[in-house]
Amino acid sequence: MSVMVFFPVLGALMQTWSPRPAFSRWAALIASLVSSMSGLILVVGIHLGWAENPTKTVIPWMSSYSMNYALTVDGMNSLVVLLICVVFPLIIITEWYRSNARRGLHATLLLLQTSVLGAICAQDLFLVFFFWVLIGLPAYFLVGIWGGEEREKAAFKQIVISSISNAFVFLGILLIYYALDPHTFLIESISSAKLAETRFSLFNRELPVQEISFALIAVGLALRAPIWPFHGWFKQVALQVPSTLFVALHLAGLPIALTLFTRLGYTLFPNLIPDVAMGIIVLGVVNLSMAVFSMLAEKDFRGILSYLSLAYSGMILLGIGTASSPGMVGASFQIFSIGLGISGLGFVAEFLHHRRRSYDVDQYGALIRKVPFLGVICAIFIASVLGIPGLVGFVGNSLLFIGQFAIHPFLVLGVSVLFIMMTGFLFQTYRKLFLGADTAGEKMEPFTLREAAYFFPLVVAMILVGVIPGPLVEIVRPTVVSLLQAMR
Amino acid sequence: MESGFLTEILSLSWISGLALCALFGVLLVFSENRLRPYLKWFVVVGVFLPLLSEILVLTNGFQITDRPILGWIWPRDELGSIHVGYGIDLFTYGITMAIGLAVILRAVIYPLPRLIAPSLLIGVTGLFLCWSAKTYGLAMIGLVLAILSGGMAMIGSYQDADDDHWIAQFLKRNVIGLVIAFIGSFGLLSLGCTLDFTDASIEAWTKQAGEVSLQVSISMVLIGLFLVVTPFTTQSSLAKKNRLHVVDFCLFLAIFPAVSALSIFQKFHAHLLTTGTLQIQGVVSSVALLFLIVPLFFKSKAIEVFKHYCTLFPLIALTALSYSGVWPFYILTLSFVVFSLMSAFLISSPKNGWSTGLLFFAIYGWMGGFGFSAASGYLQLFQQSEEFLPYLIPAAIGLLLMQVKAWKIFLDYQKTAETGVSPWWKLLSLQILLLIPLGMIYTGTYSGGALSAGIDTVPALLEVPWVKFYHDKLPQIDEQEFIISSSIHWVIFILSLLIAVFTQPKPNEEGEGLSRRFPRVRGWVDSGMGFDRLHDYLSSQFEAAGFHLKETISKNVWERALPAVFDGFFSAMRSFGGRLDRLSAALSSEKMKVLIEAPSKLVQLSQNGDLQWYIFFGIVWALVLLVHFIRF
Repeated sequence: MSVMVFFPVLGALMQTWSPRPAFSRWAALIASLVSSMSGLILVVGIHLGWAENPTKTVIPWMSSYSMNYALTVDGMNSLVVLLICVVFPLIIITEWYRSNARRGLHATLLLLQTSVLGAICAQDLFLVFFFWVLIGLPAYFLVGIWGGEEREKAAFKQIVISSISNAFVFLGILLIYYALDPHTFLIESISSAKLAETRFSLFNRELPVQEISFALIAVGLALRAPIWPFHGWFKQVALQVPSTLFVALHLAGLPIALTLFTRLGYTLFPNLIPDVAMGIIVLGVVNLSMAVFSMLAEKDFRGILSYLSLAYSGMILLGIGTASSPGMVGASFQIFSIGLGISGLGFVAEFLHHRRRSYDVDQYGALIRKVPFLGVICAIFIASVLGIPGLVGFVGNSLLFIGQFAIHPFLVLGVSVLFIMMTGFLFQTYRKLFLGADTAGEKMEPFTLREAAYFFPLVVAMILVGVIPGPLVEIVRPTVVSLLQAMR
Repeated sequence: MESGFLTEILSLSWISGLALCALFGVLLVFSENRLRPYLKWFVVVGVFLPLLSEILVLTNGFQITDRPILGWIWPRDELGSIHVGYGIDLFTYGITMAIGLAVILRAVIYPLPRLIAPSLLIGVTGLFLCWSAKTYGLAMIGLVLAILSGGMAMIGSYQDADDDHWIAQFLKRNVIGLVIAFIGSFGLLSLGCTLDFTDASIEAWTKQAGEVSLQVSISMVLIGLFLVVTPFTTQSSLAKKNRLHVVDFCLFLAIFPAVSALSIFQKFHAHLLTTGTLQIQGVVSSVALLFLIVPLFFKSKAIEVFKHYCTLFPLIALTALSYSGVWPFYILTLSFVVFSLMSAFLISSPKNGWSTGLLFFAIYGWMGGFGFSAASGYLQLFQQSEEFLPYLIPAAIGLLLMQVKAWKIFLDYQKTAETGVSPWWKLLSLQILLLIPLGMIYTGTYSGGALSAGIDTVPALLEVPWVKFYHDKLPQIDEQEFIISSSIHWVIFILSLLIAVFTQPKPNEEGEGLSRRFPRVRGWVDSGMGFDRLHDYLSSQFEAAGFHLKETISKNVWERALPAVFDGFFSAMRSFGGRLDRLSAALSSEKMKVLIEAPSKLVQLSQNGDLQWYIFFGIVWALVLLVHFIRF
């Protein structure tokens, strides 16, 4: 686990050794790949029984403050680990020929990989916070240095939101830390029952620790995820960065925030979940509605991706709010599948931008005649996002809807209408890009080997997990079942 | 033991054959140009592999075991589990054999343009999977493949912007149908209704009968599958140009998706009977059928009429399933598939004596002529429909109109097709197709069940296992019912032929007919009878709503309202600071001036940053202060 989390830092440091572009690229790719392979081996090892579920590492860090270096890979985070391990090396391949501050870009991406893996695996609240704060820095530089014309404004917004988010999360964590005696940050040592009984005093008013810390952490995570109504900054950031870097920012946001929310919510505040479940579901529906309606008028590929991210954060919240095993496993799969889907579509956008210098979908047309493979690949990505069987999105969607239908059948009907609108819109977008009239009429360079190399693993992952989801379901489900049993 | 082992091998050979067929399809998607000289052989071998498995099953005396049903996404016995499982029965056998042979013929007879070969292989895999599936999960995978093959074939034929209407309408309709059907099925699963096509599953459904959630979920499944079966809601595409060869049109846009979806309807028939939703399905399919028959009369060319016909026959089969049960549905579906494919092969070929004769028999068999199994299907349809008398009359009128148009296809072909020579092997192979829906195979009678009480039964045939299988499923009709239903059938049959012959357009009216007399109606029909306009209107309204929402939220709230609030706040602060500044200047005491000026300057100084810094500082300070006041 430590190799997986920290090896990219070594790659980032290696960027200072030599200014040669080839060295920079290969060092970055190898470091990212070593980390990814460690993650993949770990997840496969859990499935094959080589490693335990959960696999843990706990080493005291600052004992006097009860801070530990505690990492874990279990059912709750294994899919996100897998997602990051699959996509991050591909982002480095997509940025292979970027000439602007190449070494800095590689170092920043590697640092981001470390921080997101650290945040998702950390089992100590302080370590969670440490990596959570760390994510903000590379994300800021990615926007601020490699963004578009208004990058400074967007980066500023992003860092301000990150800082506010950090403040909320930190305060929530501190409340928990001080509420327990002896103080501890280690998640498995925190007794949720004790937390529920503890109260603190503010201006002579007795307030419950559990409710306040849950609210603070939830708002902190929602700011960064992003969740409506805190999503405005994300769209602005999306429109400023190249779509491949948007993929990195998406991975650093939604999957991490929602997985942390599930883990912390169901572990530390299990008795609060039934009370807030309806609120989570309503928030999910609002997110989905806002995203779908806003998406219908969007022409910029990156804007569409940002709304897709928002829409799926709504879908995932719907799963988390069910507090049922299919719903929660579905949410976990949905984080994984939308991560792969957005990565794939982000890479498609970059492929097109590289050739035509535009992210505007109206600028394209009849691409199926020029780059038929891209048409096939893009159709697979869209089909996966929409949950067509045989692709990973189907697993997430089916479990999510099954979980949701059992509790709120009529809500599912409303969600279905929104989902169908999104389906129609994505088809319309596909039609604009690949069919219709060619507005520019230029020739388009065919696929290069490098481009095939970053699309191929995504397609394979989508199909493989879509056709044989059983092994991954059986890693996620026991953790979810035990969390639900503890809650009940 | 040995026999059990052989059966096991045979049932595995079916799925292995399908897997190889799909694999060939995927291989051809990526290497079509490189493998172009061998495309034909890939299709022939790919399709023949599952058929070979069926032939081996046949020689083994139909000892078929179903494969065990397995949990796919969720553990098998848990609530919400999606299962996969398959098994071949004789219903599967007939349809797959007919379509498999037709696909092989298609690959051998005509050239294979871009993406057609892989589409054929993937479409066949999808349809075969659907028909052999014992669970909804596997059937839906098959349906996805069948739809995918249609999309691929059309994308392969894509040349310019005019072509994208069909592709977009086809894919949108089918994928939205799939999404609705899936969401409905998830509802059923969450209610504890397993989606296996087994008797045990029916019991689970029966327990929930009457529940609103069950009705809603079933309706969603039916609506979703209905959208796949028929282009009822996207009729305008039927009036648009389509570059696919007429045989490919019939296979990819009608047979693969619609017949695959029909298999799911058939397998859920018993489930729907127990929940009382079958009649709704029947009413919807009858109404849709009538709506789709009208445009038929505004089409004049044989190929146009034929293409429209291809989208109609699944609806007739669905109507038969709703009112008359599985057997008439099956026999009509099989007949429609074979005869529509035969007609497609023939009307795209040069005219000669053999081809004209074969086309006549294709139409004759299609319309339920004596000796072909469709006759029995139609008789069953009318017999069973007695209790649905209100629907019987429009159904009979609808069938009459359709049969008139079917005969006109033949008459038009006779008049307009160019004379030429067709290779003997092509005509011979089409004659083999003609044997598949022969009445003897399914009813054990010479007439195909067209005569009363089986007076023409061939006892020797009933000893053949597969004939016995179909014959045993055939519902019996009593004497009186037989007279009524056969009268209706034969009146329609003969009347349609007479109307077609005596209403042939004069030479100067050819190709015009009703279109010339009612141009506005033609325009309305071509635009999809308002459905497409409704769809376009709704889309534009949703887009406008999205735009306004985006504008309202992004522009008005984030970019206007919030900055305005903060600007207002800071303007007020600035103004306050300015007043303090002026006040301090007005104060004569130097000490007082310093006292007041300092905070004022601080407020001014603090305004030199960006708006968000204040929010940030404000929140952080507030948090720090709160921490200070916290007491445990």
